[in-house]
Amino acid sequence: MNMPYQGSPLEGGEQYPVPEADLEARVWALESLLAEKGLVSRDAIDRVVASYEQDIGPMIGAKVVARAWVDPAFRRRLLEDATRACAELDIAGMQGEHMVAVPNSEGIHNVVCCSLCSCYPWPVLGLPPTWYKNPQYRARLVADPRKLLQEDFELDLPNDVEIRVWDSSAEIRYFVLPQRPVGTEGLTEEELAALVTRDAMVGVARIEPGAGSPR
Amino acid sequence: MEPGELRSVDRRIADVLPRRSGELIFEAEWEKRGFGLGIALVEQGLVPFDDLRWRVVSAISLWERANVGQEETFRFAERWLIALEKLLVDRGIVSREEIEQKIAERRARDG
Repeated sequence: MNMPYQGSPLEGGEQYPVPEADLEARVWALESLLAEKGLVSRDAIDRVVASYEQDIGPMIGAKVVARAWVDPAFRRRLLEDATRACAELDIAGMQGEHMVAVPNSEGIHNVVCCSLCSCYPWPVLGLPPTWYKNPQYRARLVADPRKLLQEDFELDLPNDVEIRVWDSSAEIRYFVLPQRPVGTEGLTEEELAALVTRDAMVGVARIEPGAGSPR
Repeated sequence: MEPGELRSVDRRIADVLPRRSGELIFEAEWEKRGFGLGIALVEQGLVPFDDLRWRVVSAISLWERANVGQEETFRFAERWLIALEKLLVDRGIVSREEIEQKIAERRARDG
């Protein structure tokens, strides 16, 4: 461990790097003080963390996809107006940006990016992965999507499958509606949702039959 | 806490959150606790979100100005913690002395 810094690292903020053990100790101190003062309980923190980890994130998108797979009327509404269809499932938090679901089919594979910055359909997919924001991903996806998917994501698409790249913006956030894998006819909606991955909804992966295991 | 509240905060969190957070939101347990603590303070109405938000944003930009070319060492959770601690101190919720004392007690205890 490096020398512990004197006093607080907070003034200025250039002192770097702060030793891991010191960061850990500071969080622990804040948490303990607030709990002792009766302001924020450890349970409250647990609940917040759990909601971010479980409720907000790819799971929300997976629910939308699974519903579209089992309910053709919902699928139609989703493709017509994804923002409104998501609201049906009580997916809130969209203020300003419009969600658009782009459906994969036998002949069409969709993939999402943001060539200007890092616009991402976060209400359904949670926080973006690092590579999504990587300028290389953005540039290469636009220039040669087939090559990028092959080289970086090991996704080999047959040559007769058309790849469509959707460039998100602050106003429009695209996400991919993957195809329902064959052989999943007997699964429940919840089991289907467990198969849906974030990468499949960005369009850099396909959902392999039997890839996930039912919860 | 109503379920909707968290998501309405989430929108704003999503805007400040990671420029480089990585696949996992949290790399270590303390990151998780620090993040949860900040949001819990907002959820319970103890601090306005915008106060936390601008402090996070300014902690990040301060770091960026001081570390040009060192981007790979950036750690969002660390900047978040710095902003959070300053917020609590400035608002008089905890004092710097209390924090340092707590840390010292723990060091003494754990050896």
